[in-house]
Amino acid sequence: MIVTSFDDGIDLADRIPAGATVGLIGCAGCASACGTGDTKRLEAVAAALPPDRRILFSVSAEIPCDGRALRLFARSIDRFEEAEFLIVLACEAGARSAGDLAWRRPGGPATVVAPLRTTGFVWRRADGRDLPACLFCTECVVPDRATACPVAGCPVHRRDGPCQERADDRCIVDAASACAWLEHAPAAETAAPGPAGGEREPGFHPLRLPALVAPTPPDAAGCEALAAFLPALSGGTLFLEETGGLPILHIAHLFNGSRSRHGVALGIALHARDKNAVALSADLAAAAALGASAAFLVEFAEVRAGVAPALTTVELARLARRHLGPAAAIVVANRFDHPADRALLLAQRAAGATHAVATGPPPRAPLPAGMALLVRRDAACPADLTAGDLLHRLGPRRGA
Amino acid sequence: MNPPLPPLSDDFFDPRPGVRLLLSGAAAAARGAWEAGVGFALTYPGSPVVETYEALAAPDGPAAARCRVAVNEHVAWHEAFGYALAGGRSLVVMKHVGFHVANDPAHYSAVLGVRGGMVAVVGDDPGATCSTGEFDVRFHALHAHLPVVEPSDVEEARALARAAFELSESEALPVLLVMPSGLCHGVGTAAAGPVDAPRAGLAFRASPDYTSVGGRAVRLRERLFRKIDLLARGERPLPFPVATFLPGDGPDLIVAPSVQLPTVAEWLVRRGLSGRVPVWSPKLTYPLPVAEFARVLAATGARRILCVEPLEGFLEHQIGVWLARRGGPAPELHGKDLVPAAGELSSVRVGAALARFLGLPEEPPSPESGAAPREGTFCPGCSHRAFFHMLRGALRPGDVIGGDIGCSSLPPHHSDWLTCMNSGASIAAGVARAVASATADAAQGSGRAQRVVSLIGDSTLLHGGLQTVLECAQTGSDQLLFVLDNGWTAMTGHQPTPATPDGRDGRTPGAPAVDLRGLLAALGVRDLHELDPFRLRGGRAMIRRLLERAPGFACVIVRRECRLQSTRRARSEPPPPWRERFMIVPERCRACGECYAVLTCPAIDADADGIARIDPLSCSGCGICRDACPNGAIVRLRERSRFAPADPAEPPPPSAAGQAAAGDGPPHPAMAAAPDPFSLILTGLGGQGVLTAGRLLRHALAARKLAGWDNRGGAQRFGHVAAIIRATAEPGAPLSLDIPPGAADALLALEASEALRFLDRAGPRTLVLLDRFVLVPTNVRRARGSHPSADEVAARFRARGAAVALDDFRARAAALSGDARDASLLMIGRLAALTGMPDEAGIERAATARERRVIAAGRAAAGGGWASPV
Repeated sequence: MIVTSFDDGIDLADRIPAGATVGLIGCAGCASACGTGDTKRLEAVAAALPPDRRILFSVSAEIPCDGRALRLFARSIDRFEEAEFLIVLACEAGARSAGDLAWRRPGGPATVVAPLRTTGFVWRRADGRDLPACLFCTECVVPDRATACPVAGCPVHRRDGPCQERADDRCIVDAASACAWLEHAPAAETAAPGPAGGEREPGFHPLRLPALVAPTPPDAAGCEALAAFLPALSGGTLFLEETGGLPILHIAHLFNGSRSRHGVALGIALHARDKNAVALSADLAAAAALGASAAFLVEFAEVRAGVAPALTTVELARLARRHLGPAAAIVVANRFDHPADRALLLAQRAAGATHAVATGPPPRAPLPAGMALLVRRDAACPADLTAGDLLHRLGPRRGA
Repeated sequence: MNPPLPPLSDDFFDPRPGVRLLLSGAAAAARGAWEAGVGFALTYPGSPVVETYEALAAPDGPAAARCRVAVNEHVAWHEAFGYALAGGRSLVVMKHVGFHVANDPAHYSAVLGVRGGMVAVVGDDPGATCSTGEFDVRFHALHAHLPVVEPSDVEEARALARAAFELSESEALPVLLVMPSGLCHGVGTAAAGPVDAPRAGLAFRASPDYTSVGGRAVRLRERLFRKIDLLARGERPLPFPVATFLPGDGPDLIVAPSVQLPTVAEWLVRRGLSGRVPVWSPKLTYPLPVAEFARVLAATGARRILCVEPLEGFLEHQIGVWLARRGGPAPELHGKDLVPAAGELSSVRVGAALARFLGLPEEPPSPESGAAPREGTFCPGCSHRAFFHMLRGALRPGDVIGGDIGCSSLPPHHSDWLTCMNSGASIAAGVARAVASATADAAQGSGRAQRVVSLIGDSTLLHGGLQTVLECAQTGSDQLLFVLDNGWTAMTGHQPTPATPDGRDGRTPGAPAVDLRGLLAALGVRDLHELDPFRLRGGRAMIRRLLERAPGFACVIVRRECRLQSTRRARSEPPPPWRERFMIVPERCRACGECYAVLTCPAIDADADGIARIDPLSCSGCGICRDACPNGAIVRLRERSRFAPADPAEPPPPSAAGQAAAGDGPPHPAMAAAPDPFSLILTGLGGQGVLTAGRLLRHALAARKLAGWDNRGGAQRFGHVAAIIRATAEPGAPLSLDIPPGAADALLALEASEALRFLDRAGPRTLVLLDRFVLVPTNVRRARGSHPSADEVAARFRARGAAVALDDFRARAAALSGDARDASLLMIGRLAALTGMPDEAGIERAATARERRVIAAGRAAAGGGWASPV
């Protein structure tokens, strides 16, 4: 439905001169549900008009936004032709339909006064909550429109799938409601494109383990602590993640020598909190020049506060593949808990992801062909580097 | 110059002897019972004798406390019988098929006999105009040995009903007063008789003869045979003339009981045979008054007899037996070889039989009317229409639907059978058992091969359906039973049922209303649900779910009050400030026919391209069509009434109308001479006010002797309705209820195509006033058939030489007074202006001030230049 609010700033008595004849047209649909065009509101508007404005009729019409219906109503409304002013309590579309009709009226044009503001396009759930009905992105993830759009329903409008850092089926932004993606996402089979680039064997993109995702240190002391930890990662991969500290590429450059010395591969932990595709492409290109051979697509903490990512994980995977080359390992996180999780994984794989790390219980079903599973181990890292749950230590799948 | 007739009274309970009461035949029988001091009157409502009870039990009338709508005819008969056993006078009223239900106690009441007077008024229905069958109820008398009395007109209905109580008491037998629907719905005048008070101080006196068992049962039957034999042989005094005899000299004798007497008499007058062919019309038709009949045979020397009877040859059979038993040379006996046994016995069919019997040339065949049969249908806003639309969407081909009696049996209902009361679930129980075994044989797994659904109305459920519910619950009959609870016995005019909520009845204050849900649960129904038929989508989903339930008996109470009743109540309350209207956006309509041909709401019409529109004059505003429309073409408009014009346009005052009427010039050529008898047909659809206008016209013409009849089959339900009105200044002239072919003087049709049903009554002397309004019948809509337009109807009448005025009377009435039903009054005004009938004095006497204003506007129309005959 279309959401409208009453604009108290419009002074009807000021717009409509004394002695004028007035007709009131409300909307029995959306505006009625919003309480802005229903019969009660019409009564209130009629009562608020000074008595020297003569009200000829007051109607609450269904779909006044359809000019054809409005024209039919107008024919059956007694004294429609006599009204000099039409107060239209409907959305922008309804007001424009009425304006069109008023302009072409055989009895001469009437002036339309529309005191409602159109503020949104929502679906009203059974529990009375309003969620955006459509973002007009034109890239429908529910091609048959058979269900509510999960993109519109998600508070951060994720376009790829459910958040993989969630603890359960509830939204990580608004714990009071269920995850829109889990409620409404299409089945994995219908949503995911087929495997891109043919079947690939696990290990084709060697990820050197163990691996650590480390936030970029905020200062020189942090840099020293991280450098001191490199021996412990010997033979593994250090994923650097930019979290507001020193620039990621600067750190990578600083560590290049000691990293090579300890045989630690460079990886880049990517997210799209405050960088768009152009900025991220620059980071990835620079990282590739520094010898980065892996990328880890991570969630950023502000998502929980409702900050929307600029790019999806699928788009990130595609970007990383393009810049890091065909041999790079691209790691994604997955909760392996819901068909929507699998749909996301399939899409990520198609975009270039090679490894998945379980953020919850290990998966019950086998991974998609061409992907390897990583499990999260206990993090053991310098205390002054700790960034809570963003710090991971990855190892090979147990028994693999 | 004939002396002026006694004054006419509208008051059914008028105590003044001699005044003329304008009554239907059914009500006249009630008046007779009232005069006889009936102490207890019972009915189970059924057309055509609904009015017998309704007239007596008028809520504010003096007899209301003596009347009772019983739960069924069986109970009603027993109660009436008990009252008569205790010495009181009791009346029990039922239709012919209701007598089937009461048959068992009827037999025993004859065997035991009564102490007080007991009369059963039973309505027969030749042509099944308001029934599911047209059985001849009189034949039950041959088996039960109950005397049968048959009146031939309205006055006789009153007189014989009164006398039947005396006959019942003198013979200690219940008496059947049998009246066909033609007489029940016939309208005429009856002379009021003195009114006796009901007996007080009644006491039951025990008798061993009240226990019919073993040897005593045989002796009681022997006593019954003796009573009947004495009656037949004329050895018992009758409180009424045993027969009417119209003398003649021919060798041919016509036996014409009941309403066939005036029909035959008028036919003889028209053919110039009056006084030449003898006619015998017995009032006591069982037992055959053989002594009287032997005298008639001897007096006339008849060598040939023709029995003109509706339905089957009841008298023909008795006369044949008697002639054979008498032995010797016997006259030729004709009856059902010439007179049709099935269907209504119209004056045309009687005339054809008489012509053949007497060897006269037959009258030319009637023109084909070309009018499709019109059954009643659900009213706009009817909950049954919504329910059946919901049900249709949930069922699949091959599913079985058992139908039952009541409003729900009207089109566009869906059922695979429809017979008697309680036929739905009972027959379905057998069908369900059969198809269950077929499913098992075919080993089709858990799904049913055929799913069985049955229907029953709330009133029918309480009448006889409870035992079936018990049986189904006990046996786990695999069917889904819908109890269509609209709160009333709606089909017969909204009598209360035991489940009608308190406070809506007006007759049984304080009586507890039956809780249907609790009752069904108590009968053992475990899978029990309730459904609001106006929640179309949710209800359909619920039905779909229940159709796939685990095998067993399930029941759904479909609950919403009859729209007519709730609307009537609403009329007495101040109108709500906002009212709703529905409209079809033509650009959105895809001409799919869902609302017009499937939902078949009478308020929805369609143009030649199939684009539908809602007639605001008929729409009730229920909004079901809006939910049913698959294209979202039906939209709603809520309108604040406060801002509407304060007063509808007032019709011009009578004085101005009179001046305009004076400009009409001479009467139309079709009506140059005031004819006698004056025969008028008023027709239209149920709910258009045909019968109300008919009553007004009869009062306006009451200075003359009146005859005629009403067809009420489709009253209130968009079915065919007509008022046939005949008036003559010659009180002695025979006047049949029906109008002979070509003899109508005026035909007023509030729906143009309904006029076609009376095409054969029209001729060069006929003035036809047609409303342009045409409502295509439900059956034609569903068949996507064609139906004549108003212009085509007018052309057919013009081809018969009639003068036709065609106009949009409904719209004019709505613009004038805000009520489209006033179209009938406008027509009466036009009729008066063009023909002088009815005259000013008659209208002044019959109409209220408001009605006179509208009639005056109709009179003035000639000045306005509309509705002029061509």
